[in-house]
Amino acid sequence: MIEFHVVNQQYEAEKPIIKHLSLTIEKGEFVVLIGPSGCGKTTLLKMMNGLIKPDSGEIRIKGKELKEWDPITLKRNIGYVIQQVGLFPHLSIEKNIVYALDIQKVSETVKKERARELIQLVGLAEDYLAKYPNELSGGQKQRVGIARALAADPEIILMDEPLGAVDQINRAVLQDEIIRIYQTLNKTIVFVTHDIEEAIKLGTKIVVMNQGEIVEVGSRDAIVFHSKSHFADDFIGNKGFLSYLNIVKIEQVVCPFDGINGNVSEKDMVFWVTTADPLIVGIRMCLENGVNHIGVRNAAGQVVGAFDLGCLSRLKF
Amino acid sequence: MEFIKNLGELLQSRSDFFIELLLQHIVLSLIAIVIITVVGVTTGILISKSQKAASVVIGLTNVLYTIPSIAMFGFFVSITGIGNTTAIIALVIYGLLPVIRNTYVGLTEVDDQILEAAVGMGSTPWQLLSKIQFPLALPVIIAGIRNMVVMTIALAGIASFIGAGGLGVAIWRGITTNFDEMTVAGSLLVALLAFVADGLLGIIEKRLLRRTK
Repeated sequence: MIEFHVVNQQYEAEKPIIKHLSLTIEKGEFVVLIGPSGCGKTTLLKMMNGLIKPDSGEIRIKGKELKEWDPITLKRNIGYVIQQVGLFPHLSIEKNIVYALDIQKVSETVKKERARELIQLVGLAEDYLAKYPNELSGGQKQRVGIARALAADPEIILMDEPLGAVDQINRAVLQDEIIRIYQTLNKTIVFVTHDIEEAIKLGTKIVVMNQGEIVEVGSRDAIVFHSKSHFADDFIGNKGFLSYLNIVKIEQVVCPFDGINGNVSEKDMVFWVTTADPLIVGIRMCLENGVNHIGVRNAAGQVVGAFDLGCLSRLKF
Repeated sequence: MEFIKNLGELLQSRSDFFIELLLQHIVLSLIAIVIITVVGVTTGILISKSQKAASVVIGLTNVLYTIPSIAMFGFFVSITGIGNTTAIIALVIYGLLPVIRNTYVGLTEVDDQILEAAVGMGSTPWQLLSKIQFPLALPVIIAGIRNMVVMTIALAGIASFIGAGGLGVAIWRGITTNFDEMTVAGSLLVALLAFVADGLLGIIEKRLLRRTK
């Protein structure tokens, strides 16, 4: 879907922003670019929709070389969400959402229909369509920002630290929304963040960058447990590991009662978790209560098995 | 009290004369205002693309603006003679600065993030200007136009010194014939006209801003 081949970019002669960078992003991936500030992750993102041009190297979007794309058409084919949201203050929420359709002269009825669809998709009530950006909270604005990026139904969506200015609680909610939208619409998403937890939570593929280079690319598991570079190890570290424990669900490691060390049964279980709880909840419960095993129920309340620290070996990387 | 009574009688007895001057004043100012608005806004838009051009043009209008109005009128009399044409040329040159400057400032001070979002979504340069930049700059542009309108109406009063019509004629006649009521009547009408024009623009401004704030 998006390919970078030995791409270089520099603003000033002595300070390259992007150095000999190669990266392939497949259709349907949720790629998170993460790294310290100034590592070039935003520059890399902006090269994908032509906002920044590379000095050398080849970039292909949907199989077509960047130079062959008409710059306006390329941007219209790619959704774009930015940190400060950048909603247009003089336009209603409805007009904001359908801006990308408006500049492509789509009919009014289609625009109306689409605005209603999208406001629902991002979890806001329809009467928000008539409001103006200054009447919305930060989190609501970013929901509109996401809806706006989806208006023209682009296959690729670029998000540049979209949740950077949203408070902690809303951030977690919006992350879940983004995952849900990603799973329902089956888009290719490229997401820039400096928040390790966010990267581990959202990415199906995580790209760790430093000083204009990619230091590590891999799945969540690979990045947390098998990073090959010193930098990624330090950067992701225990914070990444903690996020990992916070995200992987007990569902993935639950054991049958007879498959667990010490052969326990349902009657022995005093403490219970659900399959949807993250690993960290189970681990904490074991430690807190000084027990080896805890029971696991599913969302419907049925007993499905047990959890103990030994179960963690069932994680497959 | 005597003076005010005389003033009232004068305005009443010579109402035809004053209405004619008022109409001349409005037409003269209006022509200048329309030209200034069109030229000023267009220039402001053009220079918003280039900082270099902007500093040259704004610098130039700034210099023109500092020339005393009497000197400016006098200067143009030597080129285009006396009459309305000269008055309009001088008024236009004076009024350009606030309009060009406010258009430029309004357009260039639109939040970068908003522009980036609009460009990133695939706006053409024209769409960026017409759908985003210009509407967002409108409050600042209108403030400049308001400023210019009041100034132009006031300055048009001086235009009769170089043979143009308008309420300046009454003021001038009052001064030269030592007829204070005549001078004050002309001045009051100029002030009133400026006041009404400013009020009207204020209402338009408010209407426009209700949506954009």
